[in-house]
Amino acid sequence: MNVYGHPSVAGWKAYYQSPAYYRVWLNSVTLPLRKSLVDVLWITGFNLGDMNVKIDPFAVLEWVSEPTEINVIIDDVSRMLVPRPLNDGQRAYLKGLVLQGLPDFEWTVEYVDYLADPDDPIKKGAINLKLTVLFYSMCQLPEFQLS
Amino acid sequence: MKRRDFLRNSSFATLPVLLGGMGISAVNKPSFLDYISDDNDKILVLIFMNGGNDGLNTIIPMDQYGVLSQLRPQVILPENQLLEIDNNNGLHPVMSGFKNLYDDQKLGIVQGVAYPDQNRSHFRSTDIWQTASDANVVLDSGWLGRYLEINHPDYPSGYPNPQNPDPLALTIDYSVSETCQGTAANLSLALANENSISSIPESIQGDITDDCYGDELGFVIESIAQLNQYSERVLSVYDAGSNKSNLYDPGSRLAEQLKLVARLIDGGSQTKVYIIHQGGYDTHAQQVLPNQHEVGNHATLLQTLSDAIEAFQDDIDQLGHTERVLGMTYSEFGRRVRSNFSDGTDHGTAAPMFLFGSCVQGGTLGSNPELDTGIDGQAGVEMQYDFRSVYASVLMDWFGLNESEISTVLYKDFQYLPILKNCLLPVEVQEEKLRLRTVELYPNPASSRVNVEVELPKGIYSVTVYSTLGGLVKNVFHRSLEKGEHQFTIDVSDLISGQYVLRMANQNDVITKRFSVFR
Repeated sequence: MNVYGHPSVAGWKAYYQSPAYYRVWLNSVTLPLRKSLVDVLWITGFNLGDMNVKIDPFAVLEWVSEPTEINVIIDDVSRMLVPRPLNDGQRAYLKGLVLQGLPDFEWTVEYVDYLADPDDPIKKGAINLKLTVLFYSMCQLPEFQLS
Repeated sequence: MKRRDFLRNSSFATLPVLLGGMGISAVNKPSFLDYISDDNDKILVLIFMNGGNDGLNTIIPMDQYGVLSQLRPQVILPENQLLEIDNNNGLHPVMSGFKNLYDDQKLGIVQGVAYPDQNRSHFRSTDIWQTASDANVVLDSGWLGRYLEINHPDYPSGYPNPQNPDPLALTIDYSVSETCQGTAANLSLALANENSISSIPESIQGDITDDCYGDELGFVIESIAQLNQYSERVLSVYDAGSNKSNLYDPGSRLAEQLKLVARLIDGGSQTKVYIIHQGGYDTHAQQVLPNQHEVGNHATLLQTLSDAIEAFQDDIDQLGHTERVLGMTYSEFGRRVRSNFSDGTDHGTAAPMFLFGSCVQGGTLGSNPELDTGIDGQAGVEMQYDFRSVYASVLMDWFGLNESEISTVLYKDFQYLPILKNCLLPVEVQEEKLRLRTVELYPNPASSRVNVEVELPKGIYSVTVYSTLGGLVKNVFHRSLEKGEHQFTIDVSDLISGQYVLRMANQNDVITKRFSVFR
């Protein structure tokens, strides 16, 4: 969808315009497009000249008060990405994506291990993948569309 | 005042809708339609010519050519290139597709469609056409949304379901059309193309609180769930369908959109309404090339439209869905009679509407505008028919709505227009091919009433009275009649003295009889 490819001489509908208001922005065409934007931001990246640009999850982690605690990561980052706190079920779902059923302290172990040797590509890659999956999945929550 | 003007003005042409015409509420719904399910299998394809189409350069009243060439020298089309149809009209030289459809009785033209107190703002007038409101009323729902809600009052809750696996309406675009806005939700799904629809992952649901946030979150969750169910279905219908026409221009977005619609119809979609938008008709400047008026932006648009619709109709015919599909175009207003100094035309009033499909009553309804060189610079083409009369007639004759349902959609009573043939008839009735028998009319000339005696085969009849100028002056009735002799009386006390034509039409045949009113 092209921002300048407005649908009519009336342009894009304003969010304050009745009857649909901002709901006109969420439909069967825009939802897949919004999903693909999230794909680009976290997974595939977009190309700027020779550079492939995407979000660095380690940079996001700098905003987190206690990155050694997986629950704190989920709470802090979700505060940035969705309007209201997630419920227990959602937090458990997101944590499950990172830990695959392992106890919480396994995140702490892995992360501390990475901090001790941050240039090790295998350790860094493992953390990068876990964080990417976590943040990407947060951006796929319906709540993200309301933030 | 010329006698002809007097006749036109005093009878019907430019007066508010109900004067001289019969209201939809007085038209009987054919009784056998009660046996047809609430949702019949008819499909409407609506094309919005956005920007305000210049009707006078689309259908050119050839009897007015001399005056027109003085009023609009900057845009007038070369007379010898017009594609002549009947009623002294010529189509724009690029509209050979429409000419072919017209000659095949698959294109109907309704002249001079607008609404009282025309608003010349794109935004406001588009809203009026899409919500079917009066000019001074603001409505929040669209006319097709209200139509669809008759049979689907709970939408979107519980949709899709086994009885309604397909989207009720599809807007072939990036956003949904407001014609389909209902009270709770928009009843159409947007489909930009067959690749635009895909499923979205669903996960553990958040708390839906009892406040605005909860309402909006619920909307997003429901939209995603519905999208996931519909996307699978739309794609399987797409795979099941095919196209057969080779007339589609692959470079034309409109043709591609219509091709997608034809394929979904062929694939078995039960979607009842498809909405397509063709922008660009706001031709204030460079409507035509200065030295070659048959070329330019407007010509390109009309050719795109005409070619795409011809291809679509060819496809629908070849695919065998010919009696299920009706197309209709509309534009938020016509343009002014006088051209401007930028080789264009400015916002005006009435414009023609086109209906296409094998079930349309081919030909032209309404008379040519009468123009004189003294008309005001601001003048548009005068209104002959309210657009809601067209909507009402489509709702009745295509979707089979009865008069009370129509009034829930359009709120008021409108004139019934004979723009469709009786394709609603079950097949066995259609095949009972019988000729109309003689009609007796007396007294003739009449002063207050005309008695009609007629022997007829079973069928649905539209009985109308036309002036000799071709304008509809009276709808007598539109209803199912049993085989046998029938008598009825037409009140002509409101008609001025002159010659008239009684027209009786069923699905197979039409019979006309002249009579006079004399007082």
